[in-house]
Amino acid sequence: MMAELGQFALVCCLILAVWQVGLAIFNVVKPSSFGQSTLLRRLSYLQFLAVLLSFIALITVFAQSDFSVLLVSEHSHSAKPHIFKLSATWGNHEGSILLWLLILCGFGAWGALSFGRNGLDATVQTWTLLSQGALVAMFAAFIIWTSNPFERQFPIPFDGADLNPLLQDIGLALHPPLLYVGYVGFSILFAFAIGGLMSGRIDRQWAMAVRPFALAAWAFLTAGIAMGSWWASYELGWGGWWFWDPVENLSLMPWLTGTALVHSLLALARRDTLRAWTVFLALSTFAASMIGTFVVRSGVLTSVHSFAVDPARGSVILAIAATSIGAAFLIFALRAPKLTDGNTYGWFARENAIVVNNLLLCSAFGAVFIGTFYPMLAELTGGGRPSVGAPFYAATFNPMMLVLLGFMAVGPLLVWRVNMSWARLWRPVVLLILGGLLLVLLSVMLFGRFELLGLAVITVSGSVAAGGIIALSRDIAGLGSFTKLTPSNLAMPLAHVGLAVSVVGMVGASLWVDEHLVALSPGESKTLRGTNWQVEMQERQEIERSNHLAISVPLTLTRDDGVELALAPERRFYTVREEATTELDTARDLRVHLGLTDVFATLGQPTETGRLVTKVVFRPLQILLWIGAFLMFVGGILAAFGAREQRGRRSASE
Amino acid sequence: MKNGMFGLPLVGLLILVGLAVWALVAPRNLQAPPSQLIGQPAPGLVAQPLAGVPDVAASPGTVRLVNFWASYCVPCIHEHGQLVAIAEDQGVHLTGVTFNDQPDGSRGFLARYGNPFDRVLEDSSSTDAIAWGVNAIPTTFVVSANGTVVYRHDGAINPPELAKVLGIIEGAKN
Repeated sequence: MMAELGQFALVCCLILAVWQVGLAIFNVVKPSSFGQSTLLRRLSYLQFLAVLLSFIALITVFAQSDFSVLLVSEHSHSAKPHIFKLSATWGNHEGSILLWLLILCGFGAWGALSFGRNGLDATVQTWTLLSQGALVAMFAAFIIWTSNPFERQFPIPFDGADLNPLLQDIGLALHPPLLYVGYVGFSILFAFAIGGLMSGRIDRQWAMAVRPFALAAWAFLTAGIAMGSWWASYELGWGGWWFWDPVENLSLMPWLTGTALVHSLLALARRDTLRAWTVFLALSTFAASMIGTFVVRSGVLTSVHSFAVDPARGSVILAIAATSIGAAFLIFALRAPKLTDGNTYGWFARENAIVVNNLLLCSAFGAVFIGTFYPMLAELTGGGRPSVGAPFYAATFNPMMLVLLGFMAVGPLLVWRVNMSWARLWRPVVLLILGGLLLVLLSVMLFGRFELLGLAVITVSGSVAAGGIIALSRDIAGLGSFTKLTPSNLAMPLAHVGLAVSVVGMVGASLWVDEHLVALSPGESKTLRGTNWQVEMQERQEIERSNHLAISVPLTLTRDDGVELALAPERRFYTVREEATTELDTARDLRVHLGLTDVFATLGQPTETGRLVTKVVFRPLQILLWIGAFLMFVGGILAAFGAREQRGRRSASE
Repeated sequence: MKNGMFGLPLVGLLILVGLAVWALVAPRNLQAPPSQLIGQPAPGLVAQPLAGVPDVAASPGTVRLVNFWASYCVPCIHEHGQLVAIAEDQGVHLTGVTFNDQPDGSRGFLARYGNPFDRVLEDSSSTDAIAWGVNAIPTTFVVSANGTVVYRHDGAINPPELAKVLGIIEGAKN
């Protein structure tokens, strides 16, 4: 019953979307006689409600463990913890693409709602909703005909095949939804870009109207990428936080263009400049998201994320992507030449800092793009299957990002339109340098590492953070009191400081890692070579949980001065799928580098002598990666709210 | 000319879509990339012989077949008949390397299904499995007369594949 309801709601969504497209086309052809923009907007809300109903129905069949639904029996099990029954809803192709559609419709509804207050004219509205409706229709049809999550089966199995144990984790429950909000959120930018191009109104008002969407999508994409990286580093125990895996790169690409976009939108909203470029970025960011969706689900690239690989579905997604992006770039080719940039600016003004930011981000995008797709091209042309890994990115992506960080420190100190004079700049620049040096001094005092590259990156990060703080203090000085600060005053400093904090985390987590392999038997203790730590193993414990058996091995790490850390890594055996996983355990202590070092342990194989190989890893500053990402997320959300407020104030004053 | 620049994204997209279509229709080798060991000297086997089964060393210059297996591995049971058939060829030396197995289990398996191996090694620490890059069982290697790895077979050697493997062994003798 629930499954049929979900299916029915999904079909309703398709019909509503087709209706919306038809109505919008009618409006375009006969604008005077049929000005039903209210109905056009309501159709967006109704699509969202229909997909929401459909998604709730899917969650319900998973929660009820209704194994007559094929998808449930393939990806769930009655003995699975409840939270993972729910997260299994999107731990597979069909469910995740329904979530995709839900978010698409959610942003569509938000976009339609925003027309009430952003003052964009009827032509922009009609074209925007037409584009959004067309996307919804294509994806709804794709789900109904090729990936129906509500398909029933007979005979009904007694129990399900369970979810891949690696995916039974809180990280998975959160990573895809966050990432999708980011990925799919850029679709509304695509719709608005077409609206703006068709009406010829890519201007300040348009930029102010779309900034909240771009910022919200960017913030969630940041959070989603960070959550995925967190999951990889502690659940998968791969011993790292970023692997330049093709699918990771596919989420990084829209992030890079999206970051460029939120900056160029600011220039367009404030100074009415970079019009064609901003539209191009909006379309490219959406294109990058669509390409990502296509690649992940078609299997054209080999990746650890090779879930839901199906070339037939891949070709449908490719057709949808090619149609939507192709139409958008065609419109761009025809309409963009008419967009002129009225306002000029000095070479050392804020606008140019944004241009430099954009160029560097796009170059970094190019490096990631080549690194990701070169193996595919080489394989197609018979050049074998090369693997492009960290060394390639260390030589291309990393230096560009370091230069970007340097510009990022100074950028916020420049002013709009006119050249910044040296007389006004030298004092803040001294502060920037001092900020960088202060951070290096702190790191050296805390960790005692004298490694040139790491310290150089930390210096620049310190300057970036100082730049954000100086910009904030200028705002406070301008307003007279920090109680008058608005969300948009806080947004940029938070996001910039957040990136700096993350980069410091990256330095620690990649350059300063210290790994130790020790073979121990219960009751035995050993000193970790080159450290003042001792590790002792206790008797192992067998624990039976609802869907797996676990062997937990408690370890005690003791430092010379008596600081003790308790760790209990596990090996788990999932009884239904007959799969084994290893679970690492992490500990932090305020007395160990002020709690900034993650100490973790994993279990390896037993040796011939009956000892158990254990890996103990010290990963300094890794925690800062996620803290920084969280700050960026908050900064993005505040900016989105701030942009909405500004827009409200401006339209009130007009 | 300047306006033509705005058409570049469309051109770029068309090229990309063309590549993607090519990637979708191109015949794809969905197997793992070929082993790095092919064409390299075979790594040594350091595991101890399994007690209680016959143990014959390979004479220099014979073709060797190295098979990683375990008693709990169902595909290994399906593969076993083909290994017995290969063992009928006197010119090839068969080494079986057990993977994460109990010695009693390994012996029981051979007693039940027959022992095609000239030598069985008990790789309790997985040292050999790691050196040979084995990540799943069964996995089989053919080592030529001059000691280089010429073939890696992932998964069970099924009856239809027997002729191919025998051909590779024959080719490796020269």
